[in-house]
Amino acid sequence: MNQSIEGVQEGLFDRLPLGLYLTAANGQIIDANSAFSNLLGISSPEMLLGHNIQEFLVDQKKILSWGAMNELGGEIRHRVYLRARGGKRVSVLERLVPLREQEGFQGYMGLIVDSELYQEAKPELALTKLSGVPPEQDDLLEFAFQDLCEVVGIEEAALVLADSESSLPYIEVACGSWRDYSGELLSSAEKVTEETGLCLQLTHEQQLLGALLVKDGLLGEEVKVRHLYQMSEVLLALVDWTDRDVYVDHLEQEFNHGVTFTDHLLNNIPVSLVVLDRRLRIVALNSNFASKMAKAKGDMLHKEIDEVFPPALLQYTHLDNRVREAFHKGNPVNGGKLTYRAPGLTSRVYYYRLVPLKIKGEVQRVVLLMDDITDQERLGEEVRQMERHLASLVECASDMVISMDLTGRITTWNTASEEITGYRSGQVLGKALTSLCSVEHRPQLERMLSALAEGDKVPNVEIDLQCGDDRDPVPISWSAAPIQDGEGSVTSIVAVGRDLTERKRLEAELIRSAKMASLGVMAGGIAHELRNPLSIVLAAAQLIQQYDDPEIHNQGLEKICRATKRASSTVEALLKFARGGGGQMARVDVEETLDDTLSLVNNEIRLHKVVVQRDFESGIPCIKGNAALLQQVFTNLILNACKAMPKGGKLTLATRLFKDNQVEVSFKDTGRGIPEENLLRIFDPFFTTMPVGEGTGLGLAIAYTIIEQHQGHIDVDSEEGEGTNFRVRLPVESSN
Amino acid sequence: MGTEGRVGDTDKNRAAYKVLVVDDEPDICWAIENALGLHGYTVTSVSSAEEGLGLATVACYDLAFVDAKLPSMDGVEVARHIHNLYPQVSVVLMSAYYYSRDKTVSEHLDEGILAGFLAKPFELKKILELADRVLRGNEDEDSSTSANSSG
Repeated sequence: MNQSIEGVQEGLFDRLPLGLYLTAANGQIIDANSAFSNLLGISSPEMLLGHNIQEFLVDQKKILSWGAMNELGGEIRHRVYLRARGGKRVSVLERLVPLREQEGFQGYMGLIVDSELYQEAKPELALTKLSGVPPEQDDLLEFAFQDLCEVVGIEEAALVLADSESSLPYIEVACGSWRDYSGELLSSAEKVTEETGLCLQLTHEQQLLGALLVKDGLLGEEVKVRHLYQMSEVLLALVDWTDRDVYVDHLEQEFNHGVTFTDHLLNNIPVSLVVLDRRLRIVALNSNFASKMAKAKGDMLHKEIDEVFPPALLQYTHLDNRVREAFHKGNPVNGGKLTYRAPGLTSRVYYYRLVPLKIKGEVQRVVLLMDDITDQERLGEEVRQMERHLASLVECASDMVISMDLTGRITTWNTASEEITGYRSGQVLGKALTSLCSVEHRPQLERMLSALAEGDKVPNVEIDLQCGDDRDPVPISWSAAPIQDGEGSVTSIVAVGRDLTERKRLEAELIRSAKMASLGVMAGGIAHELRNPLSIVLAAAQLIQQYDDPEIHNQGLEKICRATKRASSTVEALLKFARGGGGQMARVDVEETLDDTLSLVNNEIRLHKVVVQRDFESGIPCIKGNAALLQQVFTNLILNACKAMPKGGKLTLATRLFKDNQVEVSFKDTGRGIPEENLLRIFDPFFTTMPVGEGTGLGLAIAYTIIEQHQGHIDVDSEEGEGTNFRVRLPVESSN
Repeated sequence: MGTEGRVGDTDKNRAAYKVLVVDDEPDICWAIENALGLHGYTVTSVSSAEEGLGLATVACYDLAFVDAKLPSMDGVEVARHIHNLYPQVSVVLMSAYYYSRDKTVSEHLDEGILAGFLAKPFELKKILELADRVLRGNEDEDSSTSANSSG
């Protein structure tokens, strides 16, 4: 038995609530404790020595019975009245135990229990006093304990002693079925401390006897530890084990199966769970935590938090301080994020919380809950990256990218929009886009937006926007789409607008340069067309001068007039061709424009031995357009046809009404045709099959642009060796 | 389309010469017919190369004025045909398109296919001078070159 405990017990003898005395056979007191002397109102037990116990007994009958007992030598329990100092009567329970040696009856040990004390139900006090039984009198302690248990009403009980240093607790004394285990050491992994109390599994020779928890309530009600006292360094527990068998069955099950349902649950939830005590030691943990830390449970149990987590992490998260705070304040702490990379594993991100566990109003444990949010974090990060990426795309775009609500009010306005229009985003957010568009385009934009709000697709449109500064309205090509949510209902509208200013300028430049190129081609023809009538004029004038012949005069003057008019009309056609570009859209008679064109390129046609067949439908309506630009297109198409027929051929110019609202002009030649692989490219700028220096490759590209500007359409059919047919369709004036 | 006109002394000599004009501009034909016919030349005009070549086979012409641009055939081509088939016929190319120092013109002059070049518009007296020089002088290059200058 532990020496230190013995020594302490000796010192505790006087504190017992149980009065103890020893007498010789004649009743003379040979030893007593202070509880007994106190009961008699005598300050020191030493003062009792030498007195006879009978001096303090009130009831003479008891003295008689004392005598009888002396004869019998058996144990006596009875209620007696003691006469205390000053004549006060004290009611006590007395148990007289005969002390026998080999020589026979030696005397009594009297155990006096202050019955008032028990009537007041102060077992704690009684037990405290009990622990003071002198060690050399183990029997006495056992008697006293059993007495006490009887008085308190416990049938199965053990007095467990343990020091707080290191040794295992042991059963000092027990009653009932525990009696057999008196003096046994109890196996336990737990160190006994003031804070944890006793937490033991009582086993003896591999048999589970039960579990003890000194601080009752901690693990539920299965264990009843009535009392726990600390006296100096000794812990004293009075254990009530009345229903031991039931608990043992239950505990054995757990013991054998290793886990309880709760354990099972805790170990399988996808949350890391760690229970920490006040010293920040891990007193429990689940499997999830162990696997995340890549350590065995046993390697972490009872370790302090800084032995498990790296110091850098604690410094970064202040986890230890937060646990202390939870202990201190008793409120749950939502800690936040924590990144931890266990050796050999990838870095994981956790969201941790601290939940204090209160027992009897005091925080005894703090549970650290860690949710692994790595996947969510990664998804979140991906989403954020994508958002940033998209946002930067929108911001970096050179086109306007704007979004609107269903009523057309602007909700986002990117940098390009600010640059193109001069309106800052703060100036336009919440405003209707229609308020920024030029007045004549407003109805068109309104129609487009309402179609979009219905979820309809809309074709690209060209709508001018007013500028926030003094500039002219900017021509914008709009491509817009409805944005739908997962259920298909339209939530907003997004529109991408391209500034056409530069494109229009380039187009105009292209048209001009192509015109110059055409003029170069036509120069010879123009010379021919002008010089022929000039020759006639000059020759006729000279004939008139030289000959006084009325017939010659008449004929000559007539020829001069005719030739002059002819030259003039050639010049006019040329002017029409050269002047175009900046012209306004106006009523244009397509057939007249074709004839003007023919008069300009007549020479080229003749040069190529091309026969022109005019196949004009009657009653073709006028279109809305720019005659000079159309003439440029027609010139280009006719010259191309001539080039395609180097050995001559037939060019059929036909007009007809197409679908009631378009005028179709076709240019059908009998030339060499266009190879199929080139058909798709002929409208591309700079595409040419001509030798370098002979064709700009812009003619058809410009023709395409001009027809587009007229909201018309140009297409081509061709068969190699058979010929090519270009069709130009232009909307009639009324429908435009 | 012969033209009879008032005929003087010099004109009588000229009457021996037959001149062909090929131009699709009837008014040009009219002008040349008068310019040469009134000075005694016998002038016939046609408006196409085919007609011109056809006439050349049936009649003996001394001189042909051929326009450079004809509806179905190039004037130079016509000149080449005439030169090959009837070398005795002198051909003068007329053009509103070419000018006298054009490569095409000078090459054909050098080859002797063309006897001269007449740029439109022209002075009537130039036509007469050219005809006189080609038919009477039988001077080749010098006269041709001088006749080429246009106003």
